[in-house]
Amino acid sequence: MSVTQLIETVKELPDNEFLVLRQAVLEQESLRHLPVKPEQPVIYMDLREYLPLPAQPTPEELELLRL
Amino acid sequence: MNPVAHAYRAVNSTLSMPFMWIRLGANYEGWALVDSGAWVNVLPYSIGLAMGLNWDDFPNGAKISGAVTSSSKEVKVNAKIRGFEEIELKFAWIRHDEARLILGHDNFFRQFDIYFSTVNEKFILTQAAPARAAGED
Repeated sequence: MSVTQLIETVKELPDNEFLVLRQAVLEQESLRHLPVKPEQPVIYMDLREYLPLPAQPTPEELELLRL
Repeated sequence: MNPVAHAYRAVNSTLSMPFMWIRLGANYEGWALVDSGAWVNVLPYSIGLAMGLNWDDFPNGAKISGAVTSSSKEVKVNAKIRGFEEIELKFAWIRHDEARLILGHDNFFRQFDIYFSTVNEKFILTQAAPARAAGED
């Protein structure tokens, strides 16, 4: 049975059977250690949004900056 | 590769910072801050759009958090700076426009040795030699 089929089957369960199933799953010690999908890492850094930019170069300066 | 000196650039009447002119891809040029305090290279959202990038085309990257918080995409871009051949830089493309274009440790500072001379208001780049492959003499 695929995961999708399993989910559909569980969705069709009457409420009382669903609660029994849920409790049975929670009591399975082995399931508590399943790896959790890692979240995206977080990088803390200053994005310098307050920092003014230098003036735009003149065409002559631009030629030198591009060398 | 010979060292190449770049001058600090005035950002106001009292402060100069290590900004460097850079070309990204085929059609964007502008100032980038060489930032020794930055973990990663950062590409502001509008610059990515100006380069013709599509947000949905790239894999999710790290969440960038500080005074500003943004999700990011991992983007690799060809870049050209004065004095060196074109290189490939990896950026965190953020969905935010107030940030500066930043060159940080991952991976600009891995491609260049950089000496900052704050008194002389210049910084000197030397391209790092490619890392040796495992098992190579």
